[in-house]
Amino acid sequence: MREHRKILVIEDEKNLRLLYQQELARDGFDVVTAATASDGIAMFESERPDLVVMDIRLPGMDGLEAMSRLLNKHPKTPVVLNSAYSSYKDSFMSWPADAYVVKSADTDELRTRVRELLDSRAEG
Amino acid sequence: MQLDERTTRFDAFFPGRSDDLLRLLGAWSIPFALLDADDAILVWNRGAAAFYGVAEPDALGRPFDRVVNELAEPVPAIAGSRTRRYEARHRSVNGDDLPVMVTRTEVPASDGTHGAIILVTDLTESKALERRLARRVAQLSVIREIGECLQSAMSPAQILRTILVGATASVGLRFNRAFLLLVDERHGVLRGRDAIGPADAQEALSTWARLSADPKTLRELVDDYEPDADGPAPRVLSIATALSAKLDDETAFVVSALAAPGTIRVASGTIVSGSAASPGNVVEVLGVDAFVAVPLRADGTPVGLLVADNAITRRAITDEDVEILELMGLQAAQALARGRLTEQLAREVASLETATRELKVNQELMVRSERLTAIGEMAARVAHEIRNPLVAIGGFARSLLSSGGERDPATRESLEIIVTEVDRLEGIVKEVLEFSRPAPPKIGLVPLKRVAGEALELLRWELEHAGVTWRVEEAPGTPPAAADGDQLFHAVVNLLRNAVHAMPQGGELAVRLRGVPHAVEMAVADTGIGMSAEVLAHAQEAFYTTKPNGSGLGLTIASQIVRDHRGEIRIDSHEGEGTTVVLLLPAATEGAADA
Repeated sequence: MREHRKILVIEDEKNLRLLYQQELARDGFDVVTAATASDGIAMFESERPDLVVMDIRLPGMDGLEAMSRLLNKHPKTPVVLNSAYSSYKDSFMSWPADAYVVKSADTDELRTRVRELLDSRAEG
Repeated sequence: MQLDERTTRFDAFFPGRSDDLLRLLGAWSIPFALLDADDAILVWNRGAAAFYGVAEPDALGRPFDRVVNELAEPVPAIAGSRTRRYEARHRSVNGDDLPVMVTRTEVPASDGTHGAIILVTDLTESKALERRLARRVAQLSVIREIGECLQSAMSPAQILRTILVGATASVGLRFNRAFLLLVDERHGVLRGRDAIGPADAQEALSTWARLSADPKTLRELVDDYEPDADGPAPRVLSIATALSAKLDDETAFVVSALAAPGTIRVASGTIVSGSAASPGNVVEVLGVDAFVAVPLRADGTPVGLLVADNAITRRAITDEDVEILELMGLQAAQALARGRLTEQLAREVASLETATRELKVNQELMVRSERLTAIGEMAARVAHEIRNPLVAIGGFARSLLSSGGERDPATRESLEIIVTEVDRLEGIVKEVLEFSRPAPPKIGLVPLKRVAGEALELLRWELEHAGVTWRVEEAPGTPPAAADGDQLFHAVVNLLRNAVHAMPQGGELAVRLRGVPHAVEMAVADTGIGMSAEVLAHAQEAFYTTKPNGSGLGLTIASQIVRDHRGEIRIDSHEGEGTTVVLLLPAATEGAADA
């Protein structure tokens, strides 16, 4: 296993935050979390994660807007949108995301996409 | 009998001044006689001599009823009256039995006997007058009956038939044949539309025999008249057609007759009353040299021409025939004008009904689709709310299983059950979400101008009702959108309707279309009440509305559809100034229609 990579999870549901932290940590990643978009942006600046997993519907700032702010500053950091809504998948605004995963109790897809993105980044 | 003797006997009735009276009565042109008690003629004046052709000397002294040949049974006298008055027929000087009124007054003589004065009034003139009057009354009642039939005629065909039956029936005006030409403005033609009449003498005889064996009222004739649709067209019909002429052809007799101030009568091939172009051609087509043409006018506008003749019987057309035909023509013209109005009105009512029906159908479709969308939105919201906790429950259960931390088989089994059941629930949530989501757009090339035009047309009534004027402006080179035409139409209707609702006092609605890089833009701008910042912030949320009867879904649906098209929707609004909604949709490029 490579050196610990850091993943930022922005998710307003506390239990889901716990779940993703636990699952991704088990895969060997360092996981930091934020409950709101603005906290997430602040956290990004302080923690400099290698990848961001974020919800779209967030209190306060909209997840898509938060994403575009992050990408403006750090265009190389991969972002995985993780939403209960499949409808944003085809939206203009979600295009810049590197992956779009519909939330599921089966976290396999999310974890697979995260690993793929980090691996391709490492190779590239 | 000597004059002296006469004077003496006359004196018995009129004592004194007998000579003067005798001279006076003698010179009268009204037949007068004085009879004595034995009915012998005492006085026989000039009028009597002239009327009966019996000279005075031949009459005097003879009984009245020997001199006068009285045919009719005299009316019995009224009891107690000295004067009897009765109608009779007396043979006149030239052998005719003429109708007369006889007034016989008993006069007492001075010798106690009674004589009688007889006054005879020739009724020939008044009888003729009476007959004419009776005929005129009959004709007027025919006209009245025709008028009633025309009034109740429901269709133009029925009106035509009534006019023609009225002109030809024996209970009508008794012409042999009648032809009706009507003004066809659209084609600029005075067109022979219908006719009634026998083809020849043989057909006339059989038709008339059939009708006289089974007499019918005018109304029955009109109702029963059924032209033989399967057989060859009656000859009169082809004659009517042949009478047609172009309205601008003033050399045509029928066209000039249409414009004539009154009826045109033709006899022996030439016009005998009225003025019009030469009837030569019509004489030829009709095959008769005598006919009458009545122009039909309603409110001064010519509507047609009625031509009638007596081709079979060759009976001369009389002044009376013409007068009554003109009377019927007046009614016919009114009925035709009324028929045209009715027809026009019926057409307008029909098109209005169609429009109303379409409006209703569209309204229902829209309400239905809004309701469905509302239910879908609600289901989607609930499903999304459920999805998050499911992910937490199932996710932790899987996590416990896969981490291997839990080794108790019973606990592992329980965790597996949780995982399976959560899978099942997630499947249901996914199904609900897919079901409630509108079908993915079927992308094609959609000219936004057409969509805007159709949507405005659908809302035309609402726009006009609200006093909103509208216009569509398309910048040159605006590309079509790559979109689902039906869904986009739905979105645009919702936006336009919002705009109309924002302008209850009227206003201007502008739809502006232009191409922008990679996209096409539609801006819907109204001059309505606008939205406050707070309202604007919620405007796109489902079920959010400021209207008493709004569903709060119009803009939500429009936004959803635009998002499904990977488009954008922007709203710019200022309270009291108006709202502009801008849609950005992917522009269709060459070959991208099926993308």
